[in-house]
Amino acid sequence: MKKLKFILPLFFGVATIFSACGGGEEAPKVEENTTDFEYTAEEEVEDEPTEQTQYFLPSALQIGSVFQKSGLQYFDGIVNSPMNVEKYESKNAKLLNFGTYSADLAYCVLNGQNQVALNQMKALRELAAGVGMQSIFNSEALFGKFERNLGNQDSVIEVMVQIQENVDMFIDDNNMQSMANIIFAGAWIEGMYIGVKATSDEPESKITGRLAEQMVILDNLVKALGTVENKTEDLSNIEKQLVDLRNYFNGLEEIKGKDQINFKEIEISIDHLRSIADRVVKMRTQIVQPV
Amino acid sequence: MKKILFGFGVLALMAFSYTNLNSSREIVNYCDKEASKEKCKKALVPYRYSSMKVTDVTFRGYNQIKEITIPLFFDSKYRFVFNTEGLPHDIKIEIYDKHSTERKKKDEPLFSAESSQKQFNFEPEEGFAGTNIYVNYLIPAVEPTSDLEKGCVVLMSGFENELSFDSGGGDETN
Repeated sequence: MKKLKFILPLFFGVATIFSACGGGEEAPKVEENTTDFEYTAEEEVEDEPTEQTQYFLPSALQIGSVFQKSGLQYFDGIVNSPMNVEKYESKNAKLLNFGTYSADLAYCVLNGQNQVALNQMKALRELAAGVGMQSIFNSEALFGKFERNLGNQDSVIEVMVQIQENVDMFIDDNNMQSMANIIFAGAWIEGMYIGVKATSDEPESKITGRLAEQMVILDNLVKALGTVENKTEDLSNIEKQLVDLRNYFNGLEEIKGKDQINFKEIEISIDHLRSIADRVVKMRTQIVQPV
Repeated sequence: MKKILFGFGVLALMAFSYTNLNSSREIVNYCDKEASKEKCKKALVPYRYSSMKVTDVTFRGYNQIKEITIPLFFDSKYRFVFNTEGLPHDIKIEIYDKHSTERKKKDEPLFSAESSQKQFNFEPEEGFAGTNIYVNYLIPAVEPTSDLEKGCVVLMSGFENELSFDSGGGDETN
């Protein structure tokens, strides 16, 4: 009994040291007696995102409507061909092009090109299945509704909104913010591509404002992509080009050093605009036509 | 000597029990995303849905802040709807025009609200010159309990629907 009296405390002592090393809720290092709020990174093994800052990016439909508001017209043959879907093999390629087709879909629908939109929708459906997101179409019900309502603009837009909601819920339910960031990268680049290509004889100032406004998003997109782990080579390459584009834009004499920019009145030289357009076209080509 | 060892043993036992209790805390989640989402959607009308973000909140024994960066298009009208019904404790929501790393203590938020309001909207003023807004969730420390309490804030954004529809005559509405 005497031995037991001696061994028990020793056992618990050792056990305590071990358990103190491994478990329990550990607060980040904050000063004692402070009532200030601290920016904390989550260190739990639970399913909360670990990044300190989260990004709330707009939908492809909203980007499309901003373009439409600025007078962007519909031009045939600009959108990514649905035939390309089979070329996208890696998961990142599928996600980037999910974004591409989302932007194309918005562009077509907002311009009343619903038959073309239907083909973009089919491509989206195929890519969604390829990355395990087929549930966003509510067991095909949404696709069927889209197909049956091609003549009703408002219904078609409602289906797009519903799909966007389902994507957002899917991303959230499965804690896949990285996926959302990659999809958005594809959508943003395609939106810029459309903005560059669908210009024809528009005045320069109008195009400038439209493209410059989209650059507001770029900084957030770059940061959001920075949180994606285990990037494939193709995605890293796109990220690098986005960073270069951001740095180029921010370094322009028309932009540099300005705290607040009036995107309605901004004037960017034609050479600078061409350089931005060339970078966008290069990125977009790499996404839709992988080598 | 034996008494000292015995005393140490009792203390160790207490610490061991506490640690085990702590590590085996059950997670109680008060978040009902679907219900919150539906309420947000209703509050968006007449704005058109753009995006949604559900921020998970775990209440702990220390204060926390979570920040969300939201880019804004120039000359667009927005509505942001916050639903905090899925929180077991109150938090504070503040919206700034500067990132937390660029703010000074004297900087006032553009908007602030208590989660006890359960649901509220924020619409940036027309002519707002910034390119981003920054939503901060200020999560206060709570007394440790046997359960780990979690909840969520649902944030939904809508943009003004300025689209003109010249086509019509649809064959189906649902």
